[in-house]
Amino acid sequence: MEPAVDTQTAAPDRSLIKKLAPARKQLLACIQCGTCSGSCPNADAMDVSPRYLWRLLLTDNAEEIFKTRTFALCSTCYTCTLRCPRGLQITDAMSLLKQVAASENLPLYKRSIRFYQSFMESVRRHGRVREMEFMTLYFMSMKNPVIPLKFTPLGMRLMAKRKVSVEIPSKGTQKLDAMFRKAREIEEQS
Amino acid sequence: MKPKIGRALVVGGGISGIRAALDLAETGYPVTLVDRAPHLGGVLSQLDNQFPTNHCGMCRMLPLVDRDAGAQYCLRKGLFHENIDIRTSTQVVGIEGEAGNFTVRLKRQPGFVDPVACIGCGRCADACSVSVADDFNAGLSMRKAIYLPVPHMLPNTYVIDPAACTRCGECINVCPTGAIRLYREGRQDFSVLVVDDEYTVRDSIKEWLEEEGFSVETVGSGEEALDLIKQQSFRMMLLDIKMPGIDGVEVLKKAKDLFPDMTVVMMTAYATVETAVEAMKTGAMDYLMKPFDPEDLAGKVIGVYEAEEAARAEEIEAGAVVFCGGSEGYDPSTGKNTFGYKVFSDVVTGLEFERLISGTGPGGGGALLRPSNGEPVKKIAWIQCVGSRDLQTDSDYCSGVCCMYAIKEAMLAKEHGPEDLESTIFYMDMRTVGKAFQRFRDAAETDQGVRFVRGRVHTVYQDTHTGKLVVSYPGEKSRRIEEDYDMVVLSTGQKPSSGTDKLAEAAGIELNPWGFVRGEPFLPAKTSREGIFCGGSFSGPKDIAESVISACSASLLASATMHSAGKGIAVAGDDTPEYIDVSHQAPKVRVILCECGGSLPEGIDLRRLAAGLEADPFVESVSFVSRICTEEGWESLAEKVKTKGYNRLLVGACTPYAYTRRIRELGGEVMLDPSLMDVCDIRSPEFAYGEETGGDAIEKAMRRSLSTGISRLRSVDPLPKQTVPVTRSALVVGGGIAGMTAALAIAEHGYDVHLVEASEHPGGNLGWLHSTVEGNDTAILLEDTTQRIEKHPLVHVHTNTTVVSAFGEVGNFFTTIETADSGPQTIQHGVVLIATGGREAETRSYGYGTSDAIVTQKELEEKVAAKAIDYSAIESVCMIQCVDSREEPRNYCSRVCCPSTLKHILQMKQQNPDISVYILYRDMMSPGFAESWYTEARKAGAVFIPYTTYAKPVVSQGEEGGSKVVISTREPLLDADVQIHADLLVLATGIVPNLPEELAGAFGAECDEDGFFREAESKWRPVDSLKEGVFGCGIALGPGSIEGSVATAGAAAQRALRILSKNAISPAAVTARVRHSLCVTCERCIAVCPYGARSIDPDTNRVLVNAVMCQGCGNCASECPNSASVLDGFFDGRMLDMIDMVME
Amino acid sequence: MAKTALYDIADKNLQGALASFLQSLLADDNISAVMVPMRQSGNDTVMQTLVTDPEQLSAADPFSPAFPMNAARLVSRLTKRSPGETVATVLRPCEIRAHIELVKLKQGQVDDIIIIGIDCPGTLQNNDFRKLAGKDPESTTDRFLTAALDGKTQFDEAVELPPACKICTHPVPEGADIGIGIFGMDIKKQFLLSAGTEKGEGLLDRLGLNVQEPPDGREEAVGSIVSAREASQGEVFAAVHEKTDTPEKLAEYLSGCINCYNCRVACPVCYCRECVFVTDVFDHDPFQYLRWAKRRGKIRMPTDTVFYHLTRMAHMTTACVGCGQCSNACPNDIPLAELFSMTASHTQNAFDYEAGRSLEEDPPLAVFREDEFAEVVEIKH
Repeated sequence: MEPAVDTQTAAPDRSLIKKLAPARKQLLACIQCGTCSGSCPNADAMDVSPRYLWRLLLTDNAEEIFKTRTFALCSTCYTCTLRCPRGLQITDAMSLLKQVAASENLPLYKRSIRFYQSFMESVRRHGRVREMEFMTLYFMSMKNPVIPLKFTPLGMRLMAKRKVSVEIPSKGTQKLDAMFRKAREIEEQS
Repeated sequence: MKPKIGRALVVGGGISGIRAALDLAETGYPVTLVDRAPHLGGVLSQLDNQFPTNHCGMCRMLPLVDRDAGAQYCLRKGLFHENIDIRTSTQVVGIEGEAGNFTVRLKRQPGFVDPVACIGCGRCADACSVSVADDFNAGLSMRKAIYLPVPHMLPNTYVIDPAACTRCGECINVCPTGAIRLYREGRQDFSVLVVDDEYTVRDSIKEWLEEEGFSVETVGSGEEALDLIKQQSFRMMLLDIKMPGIDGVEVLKKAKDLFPDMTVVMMTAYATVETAVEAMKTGAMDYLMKPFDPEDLAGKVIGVYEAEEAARAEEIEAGAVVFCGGSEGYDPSTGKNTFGYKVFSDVVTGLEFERLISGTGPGGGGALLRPSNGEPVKKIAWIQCVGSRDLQTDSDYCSGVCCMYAIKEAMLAKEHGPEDLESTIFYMDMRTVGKAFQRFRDAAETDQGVRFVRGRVHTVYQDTHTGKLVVSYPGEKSRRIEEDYDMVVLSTGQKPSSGTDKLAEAAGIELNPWGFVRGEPFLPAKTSREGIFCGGSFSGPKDIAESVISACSASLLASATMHSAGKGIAVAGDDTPEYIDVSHQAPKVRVILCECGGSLPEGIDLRRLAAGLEADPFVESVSFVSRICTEEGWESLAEKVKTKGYNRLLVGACTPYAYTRRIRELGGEVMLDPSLMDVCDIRSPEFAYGEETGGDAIEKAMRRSLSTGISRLRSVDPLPKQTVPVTRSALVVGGGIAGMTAALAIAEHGYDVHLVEASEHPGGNLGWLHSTVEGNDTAILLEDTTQRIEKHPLVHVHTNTTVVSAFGEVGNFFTTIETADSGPQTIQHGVVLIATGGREAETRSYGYGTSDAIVTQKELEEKVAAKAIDYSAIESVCMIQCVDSREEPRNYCSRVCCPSTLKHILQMKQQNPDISVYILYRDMMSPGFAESWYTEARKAGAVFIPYTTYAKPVVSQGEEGGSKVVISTREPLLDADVQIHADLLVLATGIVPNLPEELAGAFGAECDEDGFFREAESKWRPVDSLKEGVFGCGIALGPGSIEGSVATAGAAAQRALRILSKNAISPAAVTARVRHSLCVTCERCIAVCPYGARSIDPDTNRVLVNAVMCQGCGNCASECPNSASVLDGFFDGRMLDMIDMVME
Repeated sequence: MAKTALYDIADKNLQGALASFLQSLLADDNISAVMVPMRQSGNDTVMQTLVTDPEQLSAADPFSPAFPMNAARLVSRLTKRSPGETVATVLRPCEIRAHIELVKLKQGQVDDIIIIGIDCPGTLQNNDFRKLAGKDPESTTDRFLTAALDGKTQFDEAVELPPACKICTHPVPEGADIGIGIFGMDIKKQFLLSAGTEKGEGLLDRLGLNVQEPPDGREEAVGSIVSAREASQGEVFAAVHEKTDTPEKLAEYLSGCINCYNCRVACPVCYCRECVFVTDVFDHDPFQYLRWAKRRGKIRMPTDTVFYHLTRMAHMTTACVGCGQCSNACPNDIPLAELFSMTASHTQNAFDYEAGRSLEEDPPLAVFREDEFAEVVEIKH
């Protein structure tokens, strides 16, 4: 069997590893106790546990990390951060992984990336989320007619409870546009 | 003329405080031992079982030499030594002065029960109506407001919890000896001034307070009050605010100017509450709102009075201070409490578990039952690192003790629970860093079936249907596993003792970042203030053995301080008192009975009792004293003792341990050997244990007790004891840091020391070590120590020298040493310290020797020192821990390798942060504050990969011509194979001892199975050998750090000084001897003697007893079928006679 | 399988064959003397005798039912310190076992002796032996052996085997260097010599005897003796137990005791130089007797008798080999052997120990094992 980690051949994609460095730094003091995995409410849905994920990170297994959807399933509840005996900012590290996946536009995370992008696009336009527009943008970006169908029952229930109002997508005020632009500049520079 | 001997103050009466106090006392210093608790013993009074034997062994710490000075009681019950003055419920509030001349202020909590008068009968507790949680049983049971702080303490004096006590006085009414006072009689001296313009108010207050026993004066105006306080002193003033003329606030200001110490309490109506609150800023202690009821008012005054009584600090002189304040268990109910402690009653701490299975615990029976429903526990889990290695609880350190106590408790659970009990320990690293700890752990796993699971439990919750506790932890592939348990024990870590900060402030000593007392580098027992030392876990988490060692080491430093201040232990002159020779007289016992102030139960006729005793032909006379515990009583007793006509004295009284010493001191005055005097308990057994069957039964029991005492005295052998002279010099074998430190310590006390070193220079392993993980420079330590050794006129260094042979016993050893050039020489010495050290183990594992890239830790250290490493050329380094260690045959942890590894990681990462460092380990052993370096190493980017002995890493050569070695191992978390291509492979091979068995044997000591010095008792006598006068220190005892070596060296030196400080050692009153005419030399007594005090003389074919080494345990006497072996004071005839009396 | 040889008996004369065998031992270079029971002048006493002159061995009578004392005491005397020369000692099984106990107690050793053990069909109490011998001293041994090997325990209307021998389950010498076997043999023709140790084998080799297997019937013969004795042991123990199971009954059982201490003098494993009961410990003050009498209204004199037996029992039952000399020595015929054998059987079973079985086993009570007697040792809270 091929070794999972081979310090000679490991990390063919040095650039990806470099991008992971901030997340790795967050986790350096990890003692692999597994408290994060045990306390994560989404752990059952993840393909590998957070502890496994962090182990991949600390052993520079970038490729393996981006074969899992674990970090994409983090719902940012902060339970792991709250309980980590080393006081590590685990949730932040999860977010950092999400960012790398987004910036690299990795296909495995298309749905998540589109979801976040659509959300932010709606915020950019109106300064807040307009649910209907947000979902419409998401469905359009996914270019898959089955997805809206899957969301239809949920959408109907939400509408019945007046949680979602029907609004036509519009360009909005665009007042936050400058802020978004600046943020993108900063991201690109870094 | 004897020089003035310094007094030592030991603060804290736990195991380390007791050890420090006993050590100093045995060396000859008077010691004041204070503890803020109402009893001694510390946490150990709550722990019944300690590994590795799983029994208690505190008694092993009792004095061996000169043991009559301390009574031979169980140290968990009490401590008695003629040089130790014990002050319980006492705290240190300030230390002035300097090393050698401290003035210490002590504050005693009010003691409401007179410890001398209390006989521990328990009637008070029966009468008390208050019920509160019992701290002794970790809050698992209830106690009264008047209670025994420790159920098995001696003297078992009751104490009152002032916070819980309602002052109802019921206990006072039932106390048969009038021991409870609640401070009434002192109230007369507490004068209160009542200032109020309303006559009825001030008059009724006067009446109420006088009823409570206070002296009260009253005045009707502010002017009068100010006049009066100038003429007469008052301790307290009750002051009305609204008065015509000068108002209360004005009076307060002026009175406070004049008498700042006077306590002022304002009296106010509702309208002037705000003024009253203002007044408190001006100095009023409190205010009372009118109208008040008498109870509230009296309660307030009593409160002030008691607080003032308590606050009256006493000053004592001390030459040196040893703090042994201990530590506290982490309280898991604080913080996030994800384990549900105090939420689910079946979640307990390790200490609570110990109490639950204790015979004196809340259950009483000691069976392992679930606290929630009383059902037997069938499945139990331990969760490690609760409040340790956890930044969330402010503890980035390892508590060092929890791993071992959890293993012990898991084994005890098997003993106390059902046969098929399942016990599991959830851990991150099992830190089995002490001698024999690894084998203990292995035995728990293989012999007892304790299950060890690597993984941290994050949550414990209760299944509401079954009531079981659900423990969830990360299992294979880190997937969550949930298991049901009946009980969960949290292995709580050690936290600084509460009040450590205040005490440190009062004492002027510094704390470390973790809140423990900061020790000096290489000398952890030394605090930042000269003359103040620190033992036990006060300076950081420690187990029992480490606590005992650090306490010994601290007491050595204290002794050295007093010595250099000119208050050292005096060269004791021959002050053995002369006693009348009564060996040719028929026994005549004078009996003096205490009438206990007429408080004896009804139906007892003391005259009838006396007449009965006088019928015994050996009784000279029987007379009475009203109350021995009063001064008049004592004088009357002393008077009765002075008249001649007897040669044995028996006193019948309560609490014999309290009187025995004093009465024996009387022996000096009348020139009667103290062994011919005794005190016999005629009170407590009847009250405490006897059934209430009336005066007749009690009188009979008293007669029985006295008759037994008479027969005991009658058969005392009055022959004087032989003493053994002491050669007052020491031999230290081994010139490493331990040997040098010990030699210096002894020499600095004024005794000659011969230091024998096999190599050319002293220094040992410090010759190649350069720094510690903490960054301390070892070269400075080495240079400083060797220079002091060379300069000291009393240290005689013999290099290139070996020990050829030795014989002799404590006090007098004769050792022949041989020096390469100058030939053999025989040295006479009183004690010997073995400090032969250890060396790095050799290995053939992991390809060692096949490549230059594979080195041991020592080789790496040497390369680093020689600057032979090109850090820029290194890409990857791998380190393998536990090479040939922690598995048979070398199944022990070498303790120093993990910290060395951490040091090497940090050094490398500092030189070149791009070096990849992989550490293959089994359990990272970074106990105590070393944990923070483990954190640092990870932060620096080192990757730690655990392996097991079932799947060890495999090392192979890299590509043809390449310089790299390839290490393959299994990464368990990824469940995948890993290959590391390393430029450097460092093997942590551990330590092996340098102690030849013949050398230990020459002095009568032994080696353990791994070749280290076998200590008399791993916890309680960690530097002694079973043979008195032979001590071990440094790595000869077991693997350890430099600090550890220095500490054990100090401890061994201290133990040796106990002996060297005496001209001669006298055997104790109770020792064994052989009646040769009856002895058939079957040698069974030699086999059963646990102290090695017996031997057979091949020339005369006789069994010999070393009276000093004999501890009077009596094993030999009970083994010998025909009483050829006898214990002085326990002859068959005497014992039979006593049994006969008891049967009467 | 131990090495065995058959020794031919000429003229159906067992005694003569034994004498010549012993003489051949004395002829061995390594052996300086033989200690063997011998008829003393007058022929009605048989005593252990240390012989160096081969001529004297004609009076050797090792199978005589006389058992005036347990010879382990004598062997202990010969070996407490090394005599420097080797003695062959002819001993009964209970004597060998007693000696092994004494060796463990450092009261002797086995290096300088060769133990010649004999099959023991039993012995007679001193008085009974005299009764049996009195009629025809010359033929006592033959008459006894003929009846005993036939399974009889009664030899005359008034002479029978004492209980100790009837319940002894060790009729064959264990631990002997060489055993002389007569069970299952035709003692008019041959007796068996079997080497139990290397030392014994070497000696057999030097004596130049033909190595031969024992006859078929021997094992069965030994087995039937042992099972018969086991059966009577059970009965005897039950009866003794019934008679002594309360302190009162025990006192009654021992009521004939006069503190003569003969039993302890006769006992081979009572190895104390001076019994504690004859020391000043029991030298009570006269007023003490009166005090005791006053307390109870009466006191049996002499005092301390039950105490004495209980003490002795506590000291020696782990080493008791059941030789019966205590009963033999008692002037008042207290059935001590049964009582002590029963107690010994209990104590030795409790420690999984058998007195005299092996030098390798440490005496119980001399060693402390924490795991032993969990119900006593383990302090359950």
